[in-house]
Amino acid sequence: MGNVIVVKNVDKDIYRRVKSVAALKGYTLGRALTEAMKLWLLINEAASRDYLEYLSCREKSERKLKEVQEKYGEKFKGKYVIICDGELIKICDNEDEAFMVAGKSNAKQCIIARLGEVTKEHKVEMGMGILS
Amino acid sequence: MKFKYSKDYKPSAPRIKALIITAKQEKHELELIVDTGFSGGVLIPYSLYEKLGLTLLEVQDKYYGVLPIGIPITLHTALTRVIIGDLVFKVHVHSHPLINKKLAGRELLNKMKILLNGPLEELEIIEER
Repeated sequence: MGNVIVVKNVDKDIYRRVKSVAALKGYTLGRALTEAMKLWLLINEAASRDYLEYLSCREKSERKLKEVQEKYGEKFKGKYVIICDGELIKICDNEDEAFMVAGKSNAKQCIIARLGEVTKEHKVEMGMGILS
Repeated sequence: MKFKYSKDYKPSAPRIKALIITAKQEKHELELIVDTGFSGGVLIPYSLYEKLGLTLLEVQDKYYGVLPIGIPITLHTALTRVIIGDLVFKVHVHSHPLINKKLAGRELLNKMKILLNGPLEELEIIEER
């Protein structure tokens, strides 16, 4: 009985629908509910204040990086710049130094970029593995 | 170097144990499922990405993940080192808050010669390419 959990106030219509979809998919109700609860946790995390704050910091850093590339891109071409939460932190001679500086930061978000390089977009195939 | 397949999947799935270098230069052990359908380096859940401080090591470029149904999603991407046995690679680590998988993709896998020994349920890294 260790794995039995009693839950009050469950909407009976939703419960019946979950039960029938689970049966159609060959899932046990426990497995279906566990998956539903995992998804609920993920969605809550995606909408958390921390995550939204991180997104806003990334946006600020991207804007600052654009400014920095325009201002110093040619002058310091090939060097590495660290921008954290929208602020220019340091221009370093090499990538390893930039990693060290960014890693010690107390910021929420940092971008390490090579000066003189334009921002590129890359497509990543996610494959079916993310669904299993 | 050999790794037993994960029996959490049916049929069992090849996996790799890797150490990921965090923003604080610490080593964090990860079990990654080998997924040749994923073209990126390493995929981890966003909560772990944040915990390892990878939000501090993000790259300038933008990475879009294309889901199997064709929908694009913005990935959060950092560049860090990953250690597998004696091998050290600099790879992109991606995450998204709605993805809860830990995968090793082709950007990482293509740096190694790997034998998938299905009958023995064992993955063997033979040598660095």
